[in-house]
Amino acid sequence: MTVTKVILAGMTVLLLAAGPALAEDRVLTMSTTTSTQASGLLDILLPEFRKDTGIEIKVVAKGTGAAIRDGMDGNVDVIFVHAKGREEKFVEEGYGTRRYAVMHNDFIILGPPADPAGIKGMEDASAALEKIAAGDAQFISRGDDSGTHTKEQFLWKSTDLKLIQQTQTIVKKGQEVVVTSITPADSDDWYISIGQGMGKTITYTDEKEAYTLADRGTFIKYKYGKTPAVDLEVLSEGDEALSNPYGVIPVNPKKYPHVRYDMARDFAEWITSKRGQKLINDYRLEGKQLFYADAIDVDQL
Amino acid sequence: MLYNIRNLKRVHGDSTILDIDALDLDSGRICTLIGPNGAGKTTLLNILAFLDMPTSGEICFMDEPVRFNGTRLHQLRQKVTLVAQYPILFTGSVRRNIEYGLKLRRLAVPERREMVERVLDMVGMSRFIEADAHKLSGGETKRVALARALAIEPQVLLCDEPTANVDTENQEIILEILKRCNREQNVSLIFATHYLSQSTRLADTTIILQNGRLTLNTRENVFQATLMEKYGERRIYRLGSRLTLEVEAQRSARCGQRCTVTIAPEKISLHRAETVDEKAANCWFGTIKRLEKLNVDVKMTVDCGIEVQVLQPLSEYQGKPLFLGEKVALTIAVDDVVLS
Amino acid sequence: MELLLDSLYSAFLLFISFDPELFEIVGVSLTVSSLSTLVASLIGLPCGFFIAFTTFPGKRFVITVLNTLLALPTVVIGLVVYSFISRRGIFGPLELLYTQKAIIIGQVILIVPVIATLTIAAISRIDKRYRSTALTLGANELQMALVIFREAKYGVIAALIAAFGRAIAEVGIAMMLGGNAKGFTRTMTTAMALEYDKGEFVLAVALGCILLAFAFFINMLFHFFQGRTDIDAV
Repeated sequence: MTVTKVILAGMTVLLLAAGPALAEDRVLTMSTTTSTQASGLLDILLPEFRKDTGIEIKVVAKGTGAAIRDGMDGNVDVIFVHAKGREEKFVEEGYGTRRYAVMHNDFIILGPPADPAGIKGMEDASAALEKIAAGDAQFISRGDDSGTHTKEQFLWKSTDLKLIQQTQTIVKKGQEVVVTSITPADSDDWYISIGQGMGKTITYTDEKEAYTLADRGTFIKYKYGKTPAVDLEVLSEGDEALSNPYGVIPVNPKKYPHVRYDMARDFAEWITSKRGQKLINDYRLEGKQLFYADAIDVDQL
Repeated sequence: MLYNIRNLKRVHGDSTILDIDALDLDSGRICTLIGPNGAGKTTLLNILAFLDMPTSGEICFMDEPVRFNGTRLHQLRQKVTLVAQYPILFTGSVRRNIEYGLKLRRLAVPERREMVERVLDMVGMSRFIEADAHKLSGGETKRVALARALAIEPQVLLCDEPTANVDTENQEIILEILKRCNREQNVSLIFATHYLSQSTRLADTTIILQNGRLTLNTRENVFQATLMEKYGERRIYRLGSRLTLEVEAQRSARCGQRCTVTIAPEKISLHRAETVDEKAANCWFGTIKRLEKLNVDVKMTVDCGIEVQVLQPLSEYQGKPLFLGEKVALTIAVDDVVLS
Repeated sequence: MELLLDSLYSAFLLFISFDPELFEIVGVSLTVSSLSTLVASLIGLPCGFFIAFTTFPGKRFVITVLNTLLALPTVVIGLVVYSFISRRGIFGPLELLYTQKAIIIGQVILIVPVIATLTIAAISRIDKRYRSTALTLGANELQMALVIFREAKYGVIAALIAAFGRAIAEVGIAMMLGGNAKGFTRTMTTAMALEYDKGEFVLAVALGCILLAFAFFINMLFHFFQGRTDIDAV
């Protein structure tokens, strides 16, 4: 009896404590990618946003695919991801109202300091990938349908290499759907798809002394923010094709009436405002700039 | 000599389960081990089977001191086998059970098959050869266990209550098998029993165990008795329908309570009936029913309403011989009776 | 409900189309888990047998430790093994990380306690009389141990099935030590985790259905080898 009473009392206290938060109802749920969350930018942005608007944002971090999927299922109010093509499709299909271009960072090709493929200093990403494919070195692919993976597949397509397309047929809402992925042909020896997040992929690549495509933010964390630091180095950067734009999309209230569209729009507008953009541009990770504001001209900040 | 035991003790925790000063057993004989529950019969059998270790003391097996460690013990175990009171059969068929000991001895398949059939035939279980061992009844299990033990042709066969929990018909079968083994194959047989009749019928030697001690190392005289009367330190027991026995109080008991009385046969004095006062205490009258010469002794069975065994040195007997059918009186000294 | 139906149908489609990727994944899972179970049984069975069979000071403590190890999270095992076999670890030069061997090492650590404790339980349940019966029929210590083992067969097989189930169903070790490399160390569970991350729930659940189907199939095989008549004795 006593135990039950204690438990009930405890639950009551918890409910009362949680009550104000629930009652206030100024909470927005946002899905984003693990790399966005891992960059630490949200830890700067969201408290400022709350200060300005009183809106609290609950962040659910997943792979790009799952993050978008959360938006398509109406599980979240807004998505903040970096896969431009898919974001546009998301809007086209009516799941989102519009895409707000927020910022970009860039992808880099990492490899071991010894650089057996000899790509160091190459700006042309496609050419660098071709050299990796020609050599004995291994390439680690995230293979998780993430933004980085999408970018990697795009880059392979831009090379002269022969590619193969793998398909799987599955069923969604009773309809057969074909899922495809692209890999270089005859790459069993050197192309390894591990289906994991960016951080894991970087450590994996480091362990295997292989090459990979990574976003700069995660790399900086693993290179400068951790002991032991990874040995990997940036071997190829600067190609226009390596740019990684981020977008914010409020989920369409016409599709899911329960979403908090007003607050989601407030967030999108705030982050693309001068205040939001400045915070993004000033953000430093291990002393290095990570993101470049896209919504407003840099000179105006 | 098969076994020579000296100063053997088996202690478990605080209690002494066995405490035997000296025990010698001949080979090729049938020896029964009797005594109430908890007397240490099973423990003794386990030690004789080299499955349990004495806490102290010595055992010689075939004049070789037994050391309860090392590989030699395994060789000794191969000569001796024990059939437990509640034997357990291995999972599988009856055949597999019986073959087990033979496989361990690396017997060739045809010989193995022949032996399995032979021993199963002996115990009358031939038609169960392929039966699931765990689906047999208690009596069947016991017979298969016996067959399993016989199959390995041991030099010594130890049986713990071979006829307990077995119906009368099977009891006879089992006893007959045991007797045959002893006679035909010269297997030394030691079995624990609480049936006195079996002991009388079969045994060359009877060991009586009581509270872990050997009470008497020879023949039996174990009777059921009822306490009739008490006065002072004396107790009067009744045995059978009309015999009374006066003994020293050995423990507290109520009138009407039953107990077991053991009288050492060599401690009973025999007299011609007419020379004894009929009213003397502990004096029983009867007729000599059987006479037998055992080595240096004469064993007489006197029918006093119950059968009493009396053992007399041959020299004494020859001094005043008694004849079959002769009326005699036996007197029993008060301190020569053991109650249990 | 829709998800489940879609998934079941997808699993069926994948299965009948002999999707090579799927079979590769299933193959890796089965190989790795079988080898783990094999290696773990070579360690766990004798250990369990020894502990159940002998008395030594601290036996109770050893059993308690083994029972505690049953609750060892796969992540902890993954981390510890990782620190040993990473390129910077002591066994780094062996290049074990992100190989099937690495998963097997981790899973062996995971399931040895399972096999050992269940073996101890199985052996302890066996009637003590088997021991003396075997000895009195002329068995030496090893032969007697084999008798006990045979009598404890069902319990021991159950231990192996449980261990195999634990190995094939775990995801932490396979992910951390195997690295989910497609075609090399991608198991059914890591593939499911990946499909979940990708938001492909249908595929994730479809893989789950196939995992269950294989687990069921393997358990049926075990039962088949035990023999029909023995099932009621389990």
